[in-house]
Amino acid sequence: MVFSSLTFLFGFLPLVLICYFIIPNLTYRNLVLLVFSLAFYAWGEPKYIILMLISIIGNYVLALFVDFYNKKGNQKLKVLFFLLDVLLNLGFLGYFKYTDFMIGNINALFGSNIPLMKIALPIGISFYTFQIFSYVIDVYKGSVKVQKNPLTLGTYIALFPQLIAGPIVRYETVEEELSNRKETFHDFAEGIRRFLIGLGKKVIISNQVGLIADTIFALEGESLGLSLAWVGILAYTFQIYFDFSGYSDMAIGLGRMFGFNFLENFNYPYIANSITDFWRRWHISLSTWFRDYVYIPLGGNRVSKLRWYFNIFAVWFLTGMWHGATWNYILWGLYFCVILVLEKMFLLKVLNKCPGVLRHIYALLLIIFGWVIFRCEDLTQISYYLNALLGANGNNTIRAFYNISVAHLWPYLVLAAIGSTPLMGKILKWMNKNAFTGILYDLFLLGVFFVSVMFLVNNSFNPFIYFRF
Amino acid sequence: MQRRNLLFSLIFSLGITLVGTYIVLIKPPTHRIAMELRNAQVFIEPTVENVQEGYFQTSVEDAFSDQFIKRSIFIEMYYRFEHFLYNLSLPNKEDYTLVKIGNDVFTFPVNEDYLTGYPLIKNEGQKKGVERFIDHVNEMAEAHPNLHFYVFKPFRINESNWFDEDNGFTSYGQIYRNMMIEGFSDEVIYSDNQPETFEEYKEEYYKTDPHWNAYGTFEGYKDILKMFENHYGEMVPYEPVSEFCFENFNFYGQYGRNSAYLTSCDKFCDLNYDLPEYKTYVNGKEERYDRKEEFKNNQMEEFYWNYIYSVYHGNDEAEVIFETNQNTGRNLLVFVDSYSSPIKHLIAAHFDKTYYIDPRINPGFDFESYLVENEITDVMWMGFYGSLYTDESYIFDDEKGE
Repeated sequence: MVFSSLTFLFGFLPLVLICYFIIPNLTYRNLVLLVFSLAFYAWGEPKYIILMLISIIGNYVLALFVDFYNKKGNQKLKVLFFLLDVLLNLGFLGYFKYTDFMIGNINALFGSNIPLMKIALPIGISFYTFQIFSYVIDVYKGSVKVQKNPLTLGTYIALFPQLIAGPIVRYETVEEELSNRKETFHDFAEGIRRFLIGLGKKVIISNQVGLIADTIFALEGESLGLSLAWVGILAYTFQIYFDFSGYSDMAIGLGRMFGFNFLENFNYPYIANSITDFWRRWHISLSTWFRDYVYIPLGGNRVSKLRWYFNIFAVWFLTGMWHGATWNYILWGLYFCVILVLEKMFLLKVLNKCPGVLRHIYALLLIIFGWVIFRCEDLTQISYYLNALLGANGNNTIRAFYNISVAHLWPYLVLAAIGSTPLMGKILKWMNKNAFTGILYDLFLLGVFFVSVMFLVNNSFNPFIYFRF
Repeated sequence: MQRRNLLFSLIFSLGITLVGTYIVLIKPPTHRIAMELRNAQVFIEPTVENVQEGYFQTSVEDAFSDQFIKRSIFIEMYYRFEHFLYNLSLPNKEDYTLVKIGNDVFTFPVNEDYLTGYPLIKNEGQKKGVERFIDHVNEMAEAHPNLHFYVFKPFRINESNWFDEDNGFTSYGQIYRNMMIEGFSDEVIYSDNQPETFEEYKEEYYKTDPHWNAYGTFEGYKDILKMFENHYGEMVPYEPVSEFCFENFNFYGQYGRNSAYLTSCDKFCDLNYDLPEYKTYVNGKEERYDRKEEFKNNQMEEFYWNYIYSVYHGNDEAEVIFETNQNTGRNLLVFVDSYSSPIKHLIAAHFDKTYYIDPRINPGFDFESYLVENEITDVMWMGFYGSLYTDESYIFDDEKGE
């Protein structure tokens, strides 16, 4: 189930709100959240509920052992159970996400013909596995207390607002709130507001600019010229941002409605003035996760230069792999690895001497080229699209836009361009502070909700295709 | 602020709860969605099996959409907004620049309510198809010198060259047409319905559908009679005695539906003729071919979810026979497609028996024996370019498909 569906908005959400707020006791409220979260998870793929339950129970038990032997001072057994726990989580992630990738590579490398297993990927496995890791590693390090209540741990792992597409909420962030939180009308209303902003971002902007991107990326041969290629990649640039940040907004908003305060995941990444800056603003929960659980444990930058390069490489190789089990994602990770190394070596110093506009253009261009690698699945497609972006396929006439049914969607691109700057955020924040403008703000958000519902209802429209003329 | 938060929270929470409850528990289920010609998904009971298979979940998601309060109004609002965006984006309002608005559906600023497919452009396969069709009919005519052969092609807007200049291409519709005019032997009479201007087209064809309307059909009927006159002398067409239009429903044709261009619709009109009495046999059974009576008696409810053009005039059928008792000594065999539906009864009024065969859904049709068994005197192919140029069903020799 996704948040941007009528089933969630008019079925699941009212039900969970009623069941949650009708119960006064926090323990039972957690139980309600757990049950609904499991139902939410099972909705798409019921059989994987078992996987989730094994994950919860396995991590609960193994973390207890880690904590137990830690307190006993038995380092060997502590490490053993920690490794077992890591193995359990990596095993699931590796099996479900990377098996076919490995088989494909072995086949390509050795000319073998091992059949692919075509394993369906459990929804959100990359996100919740990393969340579990944050708990397990922090318990191992002793920076959080082990959770002795399996229901509470289950609630954390399966918590539906952030279960499927993040943000990656670390256990330490919600540790206190899991057992001691207070829901208020203020938080509830602010949560709804944030949720509606996210819904609008996803349904009204991302889905519409996505239509432009999908149409243009599907073009073949000479039909993809310079101008269409740029419109296509710009549309995708906006699509991925509004899709992902919209989902994060919805997750943060939902969390707040239930009394949780998740950390921000995006901070206007497209106003970044370097790639280093971009990665401080884009998918913050992932980049900080890699920083704290991979980069720093590997030694960070307090090591030899060669080792430091290796550490950066490892982080970005894993970042690429985390996004998907295909080579283009790894290439995408390594692309940023190279740029970040160059920036750390000398480029940032050069950039700092340039005018701000140039720095933004530099960052935006590199981000956009990065999205080409991210969007295209193989090297042939990547090089075809990059060539088109550089004008190798010639240019398109204005008629080409009209002939591919995306010309009328240009206002969404304008909306997206404005929405990806802090301007709208600042205006809305200001409106929310005052009594009168606050009411206008709420009316605006209810309007966004109405329009989003209109778009969602329309998604089911199936015009009749009469095929026998 | 506190009061505002309370009010906002209540409006949102109560809103989604009441709407959700109404849709799932209170609202009488919608069973048919007329506009989309399909059954609506209703909420079903969960079982272990359907939950495991995921069918229950999918059906709930679909049901939420299909059963949503005032769904059609939401969809109409969406398309009105799309329509507004199209208008906003259209280039020079005076030209024919094609703007894609759906699955193989285009509109153009000079009159946005008219819809079209993409114009015929140079295509070797199509060119070979035209040549093959011409050769085939010529061969048939040569092989049956005692029969009269005709080919009639109704028009389709994307055959025109009206879009060429403003879109910077050369369309091939008129080139293929000229091949047809020049290619048939003297034994084959060719004619077509060819609006010379867009204004003429507007008179004779629907806005949202590729087919001809009642007035275009009448023009086509007169053109066809002129072809017959080559062999039978003057044939006077029956003139319409009255006309009527359905006021209580809008006609959304194929282009309209395929593009969901809901703000554009056609008025559905027909012409009444005082024709000689006839019987019809549909696929061997004596029954009425059209459903005009039902429509005129306002008994259309059961047809709402069908393609009105087809239901009203008569569906595509493998074989439809019109029998009049006029002793003309003429029996006509016509290979047809959907353009024939509104004209069948008019042509039939000039023959003893008229046999309409739709080869697309009559794959076992045996041309030679049919001629003999039914004492056919005249043979006609009548179809739009897609049927005649590229559909091999309209070729009756053993080599097709090779």
